[in-house]
Amino acid sequence: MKKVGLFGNPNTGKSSLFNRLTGLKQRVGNFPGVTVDKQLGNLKFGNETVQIIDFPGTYSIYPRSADEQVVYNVISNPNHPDYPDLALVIVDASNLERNLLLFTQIYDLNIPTVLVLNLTDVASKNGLIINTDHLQSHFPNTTIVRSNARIGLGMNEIHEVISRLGDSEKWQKPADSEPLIAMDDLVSQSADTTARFERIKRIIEDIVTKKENPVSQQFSSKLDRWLVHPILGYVIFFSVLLIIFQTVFSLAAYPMDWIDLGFANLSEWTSATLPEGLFSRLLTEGIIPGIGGVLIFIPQIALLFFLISILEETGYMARVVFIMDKLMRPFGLNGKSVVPLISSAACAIPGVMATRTIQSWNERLTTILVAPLMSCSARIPVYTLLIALVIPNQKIWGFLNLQGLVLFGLYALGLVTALLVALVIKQFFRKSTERSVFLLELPAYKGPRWANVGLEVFQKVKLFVVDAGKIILAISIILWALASFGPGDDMEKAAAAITVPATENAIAVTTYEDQVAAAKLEHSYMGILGKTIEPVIKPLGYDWKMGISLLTSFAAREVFVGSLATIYSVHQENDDPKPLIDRLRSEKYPDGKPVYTLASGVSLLVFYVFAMQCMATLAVVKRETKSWKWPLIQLGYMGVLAYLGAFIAYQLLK
Amino acid sequence: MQTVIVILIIATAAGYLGLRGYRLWFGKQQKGCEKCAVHKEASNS
Repeated sequence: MKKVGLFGNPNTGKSSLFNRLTGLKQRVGNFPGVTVDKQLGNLKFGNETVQIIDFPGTYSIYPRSADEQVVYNVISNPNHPDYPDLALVIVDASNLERNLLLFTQIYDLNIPTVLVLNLTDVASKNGLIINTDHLQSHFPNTTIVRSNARIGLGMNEIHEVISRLGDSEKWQKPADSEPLIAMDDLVSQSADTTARFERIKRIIEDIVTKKENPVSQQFSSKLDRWLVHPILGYVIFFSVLLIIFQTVFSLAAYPMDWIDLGFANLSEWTSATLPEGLFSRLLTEGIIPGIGGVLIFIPQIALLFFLISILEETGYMARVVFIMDKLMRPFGLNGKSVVPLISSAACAIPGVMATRTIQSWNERLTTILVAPLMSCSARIPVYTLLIALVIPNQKIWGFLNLQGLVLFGLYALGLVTALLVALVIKQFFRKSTERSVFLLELPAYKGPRWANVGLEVFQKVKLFVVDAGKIILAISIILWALASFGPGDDMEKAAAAITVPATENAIAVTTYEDQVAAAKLEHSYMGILGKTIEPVIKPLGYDWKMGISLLTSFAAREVFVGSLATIYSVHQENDDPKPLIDRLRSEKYPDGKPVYTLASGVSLLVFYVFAMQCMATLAVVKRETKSWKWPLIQLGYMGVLAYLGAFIAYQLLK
Repeated sequence: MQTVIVILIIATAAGYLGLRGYRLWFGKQQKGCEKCAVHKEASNS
């Protein structure tokens, strides 16, 4: 199969072009470092299929980091399975000087090239006029295509060029192909780069004309005076975050209530409709509450990523990366740690993988070790359930919602702890004298592309529902089984020991039913397991049911909520459906004290900020560090932090 | 009958979790990341 490689500097629109060509939905971002590994897709021409390979962005063929190494490994070896028959070099038309370095390096190899002038709309807005005829005269053996991958401009021409791949006679190979300089010969590489930049400078003078003071640049410059200001920049960023969390809490509450009540009613209806039996109980006490526990958080996750995606699309996230770089340096994290850490706020897995852009191993390892401390989307269900449960829904200063403020505080706690842990690692364990260079080009501000925003929201919700949902559902079923059965006839004996009320008074009957349910649960396999671990979690303010949920959420954090939903459904009579949060509110110890108090709730929140409860992240850390040592260290130090943090929180507030 | 169905469902759930855990930790190099679908193919490098 013929292969077409997509090459280019970071953030030039390679992934957008890849999506256009292959019809896939590879993630695109308005900041560099989104693609850190090569991506594969196919393009069909009649009976022939061409493989399209999207390579990570790089400024030069010569690698400085693990992601750039991928390009060198392929390009330097014509026998490599991914060695391309055709190289599409995507260049940012608004910054030709920097982008042409990589193009000239690939052009001088013996690979047919197409120069794709992308982001031509941005170049025009910046007042740049590019003479492609002159450009062609400098590179006679390449095909030049003007494109705008965001709206699909130039796709027909690119298709046409790729379709000629089969006809080798139409390809003229460059007469003087230059061999690649050895990877460790930094002196020759530097001399070669300097010579190329000299040549590129002359080419630019010949082909680019610039109009004075274009409107878009004036607008972006004016906005940037405020948004990347050394002090105001942070004030604005944290205000934006605060507004996002306030919005998430206030707007998502309504659909969440509907979903919660809907599932409670569905459970009641199923129980009333199906014949009595084990399967009916599994459905009403295990599966339905488990699925409800997942779906209830769709509104919050959709809303959060809708707002974050708008920030990314407009170009503001690139500014956030810029100002965070300054914030992180005093803590020993280099600029290239910013993108992995910000990515970790969605999910730590792409965050850990994005550390491949960091050259220094010590700095990369430090970033990997602290990335899961950033609050990821899996924590949202846990945070919002517990906040709604123990934090009063009241306003501060008349406009700030206290619950939203606490959510903001939890994200801030994660970030501050990540920075402090990085500082400790730097100071005491893994000192590094190397400093990675972080190049970031601030894109001009533009309106969001709603299709991209919608796609991002859809993908995030789909991942949460389908991927996490499968684990939550499976664990809910197992939990139901553990809660429904016990050794011998212990459960029946425990239930029979409860005194039957003498009267048919409704309150007495309900109390009796609750006591029977509690006795059965306590003598089930799950109850026995929960009671065994209770002494360890008692100092944190947790009862054994929280302990079981805590234990199951080591698979993934969001399992906590689904587990609670299942545990509180088993053995319950379904004639009075109550949302999970109401059940948790009414949960009491035998002495009548509430189980979920401000102290135990905050203790749980602190535990979840710090604890490393994600098997998938640990597996990725093992893969990226090629060792069991680092995921185990991560699990250990985050576990100690979580236990101590939760202990202190509970002891201070109880 | 209901009991048989329930046992099958529980066995499937346990099997799914076990298989997923095994593949996560001991499986061949992952074809991309588990949760985010950002990286569909792992590098050969």
